[in-house]
Amino acid sequence: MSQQGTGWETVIGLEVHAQLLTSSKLFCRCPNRFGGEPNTRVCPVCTGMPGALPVINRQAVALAVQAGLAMDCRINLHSLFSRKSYFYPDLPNGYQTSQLEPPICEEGRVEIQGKNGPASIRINRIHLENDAGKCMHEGLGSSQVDLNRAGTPLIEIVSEPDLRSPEDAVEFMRHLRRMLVYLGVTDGNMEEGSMRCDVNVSLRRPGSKEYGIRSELKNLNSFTSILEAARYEVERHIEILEAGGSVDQETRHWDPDTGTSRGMRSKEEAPDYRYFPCPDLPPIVVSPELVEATRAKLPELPEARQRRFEEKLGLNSDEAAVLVGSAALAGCFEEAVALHNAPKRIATLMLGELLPESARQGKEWFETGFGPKELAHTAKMIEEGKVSLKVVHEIFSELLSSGQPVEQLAEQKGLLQVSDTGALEEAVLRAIADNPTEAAAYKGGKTKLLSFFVGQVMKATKGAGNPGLINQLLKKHLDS
Amino acid sequence: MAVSKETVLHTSRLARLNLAEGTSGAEAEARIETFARQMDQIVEYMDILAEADTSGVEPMFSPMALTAPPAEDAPALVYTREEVLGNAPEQEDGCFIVPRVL
Repeated sequence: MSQQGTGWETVIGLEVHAQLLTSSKLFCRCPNRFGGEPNTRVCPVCTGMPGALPVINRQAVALAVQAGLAMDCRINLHSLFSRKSYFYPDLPNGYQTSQLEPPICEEGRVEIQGKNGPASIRINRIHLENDAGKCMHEGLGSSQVDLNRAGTPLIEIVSEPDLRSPEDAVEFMRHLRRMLVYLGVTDGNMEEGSMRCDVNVSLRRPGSKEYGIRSELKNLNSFTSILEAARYEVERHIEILEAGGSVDQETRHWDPDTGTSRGMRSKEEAPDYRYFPCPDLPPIVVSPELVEATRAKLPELPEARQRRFEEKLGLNSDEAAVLVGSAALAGCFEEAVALHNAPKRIATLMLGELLPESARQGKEWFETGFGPKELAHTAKMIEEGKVSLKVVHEIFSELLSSGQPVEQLAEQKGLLQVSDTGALEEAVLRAIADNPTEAAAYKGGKTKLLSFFVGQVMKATKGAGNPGLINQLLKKHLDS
Repeated sequence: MAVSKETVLHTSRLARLNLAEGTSGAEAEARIETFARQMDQIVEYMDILAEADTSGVEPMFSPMALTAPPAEDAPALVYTREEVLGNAPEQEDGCFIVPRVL
């Protein structure tokens, strides 16, 4: 695939950072949370005091293993932390504690729906490391340092250069975010920096086996930035290469305000990280039992679940996509279906009533108290002809607030579905008698007017008439 | 010599050390040469290790025979901001103050 019409093929690889959803930091037990007053979640370990010793967080290791298995990686039962040295005030140790060789996970694979069909993106590695703090440059001759974030556990997911367009790079990031949020590995909040990525871009002639020289765009924290920065970089490379020049291998900064990238440092200033094994941290050992237990507990991933909802339960892809957007929502749906096997109707109730109504009330759906049991029961009442979907829609907000079973509330409001032939027949006959012109036209061949009469009867019964029965009775009297 | 003057200068730059500080140019030259010679001797000494016959020996995973016992993920705030900032040469508004970096 070449970049349409340019004669160049785009090659992109991503390095994705995701903050892990642990309660405490990677190497100390300071709380792991976003924001707060500066330096209120710090200790000698995460501020890099001499002599303070790191202790690895068990849960961070478990989450990294979970992410690795979800991406079909090999889990290294022994892995090692190394020090990556560089100087910046937000990095109090003077080095980041990261993993070089071997990382905790290697050689995985992720399947995405690319711009030109399904694409298999190889994962080179996933490793554990700690995040840096934050610098603020407000003073004239000084900078302020807040180390609340220092020591936050991260995984870095490094893809192979298997992406072939900026659009696919965005889809890959979306895919990872969806997967990791679903698994509870990260909260995926890109605005708060919980997930961010570096994008490596290079070009080559289609069919070439060699990669071109790449530039790296640092720290993109929105899907729009990834897309725009990668597109800009592709154009920039094309211009340079078409003019007979060569691209500098360099790190670049993307400025979303101007929509341009600029070099951050020249080749001479390229960092020399001097990785070496961290003497403070013995090897990290993952037991085969942990790997197998994690594998066994790994939930069905969103894509597979969506496929199953469509193929086995007959939902359309929009319905299925919304439901699998959250593991809890999908779980609620499945529980309801287990109680009453009417997947389509339950999905309709969830997407057409429960989600919009809870949004109107400014609540999360699970805060309404209307759960699997209530969904299954309501679907059952509709199917048994006790209430119509229309009535459920009308009384849904009260249904949430009252907590009453649907048929009880409908009865109180005189909206129980009328399936009593006598009562309905009366309404049908009155509708025909009250509208002689339409009745004559119907009998004259304008059979589309049937829906007009259904509407009249529905109005007369306040929407509580059983539509199937009304149709039947109307036909009986109009066709005779 | 395995360690050249250039290596010494590169290493000192990475470590943010100014080897010429407080000296005349000629003294700095001499100092760098001294470091190069000394570092070279260290590297040469370590090269003795390479003479050991390691055929048939499994590479060591880590020099440490231990593994890292993990800690449970239970948050605990042990230090106050005042205690942690107490070691800082300069502080303001609850932040560490450093020379401006941007």
